Amino acid sequence: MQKKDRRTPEEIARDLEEVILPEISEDDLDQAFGGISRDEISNSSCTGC
Amino acid sequence: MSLGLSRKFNILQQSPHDLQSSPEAPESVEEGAVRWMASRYTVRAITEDGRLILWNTYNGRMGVIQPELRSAAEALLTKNAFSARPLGLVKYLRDRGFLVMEGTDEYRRIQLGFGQEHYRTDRLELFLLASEDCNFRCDYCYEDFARGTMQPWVRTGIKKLVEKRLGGLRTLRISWFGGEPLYGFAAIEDLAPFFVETADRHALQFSSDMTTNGYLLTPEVADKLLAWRIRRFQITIDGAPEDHDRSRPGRGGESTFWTIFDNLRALHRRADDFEVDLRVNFDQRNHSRVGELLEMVKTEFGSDPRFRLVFHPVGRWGGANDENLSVCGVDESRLIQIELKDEARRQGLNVSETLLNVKGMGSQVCYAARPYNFIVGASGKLMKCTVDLDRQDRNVVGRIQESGDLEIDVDKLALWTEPAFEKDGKCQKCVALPMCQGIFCPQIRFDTGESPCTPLRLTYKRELRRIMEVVAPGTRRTPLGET
Repeated sequence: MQKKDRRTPEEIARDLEEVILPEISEDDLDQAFGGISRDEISNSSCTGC
Repeated sequence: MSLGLSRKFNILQQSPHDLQSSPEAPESVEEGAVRWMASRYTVRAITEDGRLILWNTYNGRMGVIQPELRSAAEALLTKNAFSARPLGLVKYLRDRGFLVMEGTDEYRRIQLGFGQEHYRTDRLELFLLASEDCNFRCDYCYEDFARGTMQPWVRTGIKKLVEKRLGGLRTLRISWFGGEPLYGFAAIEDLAPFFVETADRHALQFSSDMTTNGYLLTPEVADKLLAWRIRRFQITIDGAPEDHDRSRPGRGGESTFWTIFDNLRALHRRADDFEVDLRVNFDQRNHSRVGELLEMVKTEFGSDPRFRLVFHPVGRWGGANDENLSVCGVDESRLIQIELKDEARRQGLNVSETLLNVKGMGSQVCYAARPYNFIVGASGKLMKCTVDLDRQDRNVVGRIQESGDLEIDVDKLALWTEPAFEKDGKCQKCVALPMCQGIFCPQIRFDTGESPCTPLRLTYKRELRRIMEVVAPGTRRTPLGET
């Protein structure tokens, strides 16, 4: 069970001003999506059978 | 009354405001705290190892919070506004749209984004029914094969339509459809080179795709299609050979599987740039043997990223044989679809994800709902929905003329393209609204009166976790706190 943070949001924000979170790279995401360009995707579930 | 300024300054030449000392530079955002609140369009999921995945449906951005910061992030992502400088964790959440400034009306942003996309006039998308007839007789098909190849005068009208629109056109998308489009190859041979030449001459963004059964997609035909920049194909194979041949026979009852598979093998051997969605329609009869097809796909195309699997449940789509179909129930379909995707992934195959549409705004909107999208039939009918086609009068929104003019029934067009979410309270409250904008499927709304929800709304948490299984190494390369 995740422990709830007892600090106020203001305190949390202040305490974590120096934190740098890792990025998800576009390459990684494209890999997760089967290596295709996500720009090219549209809702095509209806086209044809 | 004169202020006497004209004696001191030449106020006809220079504003007195400009004679004052420079105003102070605006206070930088970093120096002051801002009040933040959580975006209403962020989806959350927790991975097995305790990471918090965030995905904003408005901008399509994704974020991953490591377990040690999860409770802190959750405390910030509340409806209650708080003050903080946009640094560190707050900056991370702000940059991805998970936090917005207090008072931001995100619904209004969606209204703006909807209008900007929906009513654009620089885009034209055409589904062209090269032939309304088909060389197959699939048992679930809903089409009536009433006409053959697109008539020459219709093709002339299409060319003239594009030419008339060139002044304001930036993007042209051509989707070849049918019947079976390659059954009407004469129409494709007439029009496809025209589109390429016109797009090149006028610097249009051009893309073209084809939904084909693949039977006539021989290497010689593929040569021509690829030269005409038709680079995305949807080809259906319904499982193992005997299952496929039962549901997708030729019009005389012939076997079709191996001809299609041979054409796919030939495509695989090419070096060209293209993509193939291998669509598998599953029902009660074939789903348990789809694994045999996956083995074959793995053997033949497994490492080829151009081939991707898509799984769809067979539906009663309005065909004459609907009552005899062994369709799966809604919940059952969803489970089978998940199982098939998981099985394909286990085999190392590329799967077309439903969460592919992570680009956010409008990515789940049906093409039929967009005013810039039309189907042009073989006899010149203008339609919207590729399932309704001309079986429903509501869907025939006009005709194209040989002159290229569109004779439009405004009321029918307005029916398909209305901003339905503005009248739908359920949609307005939905976290998925930016993606589907209440028009994932106008047809469902017409037929049932219900809000047509994207299936993604029911599966996105699972999909997000699945993505993290693949992306996880990337997110862990840079340990928390290090640059």
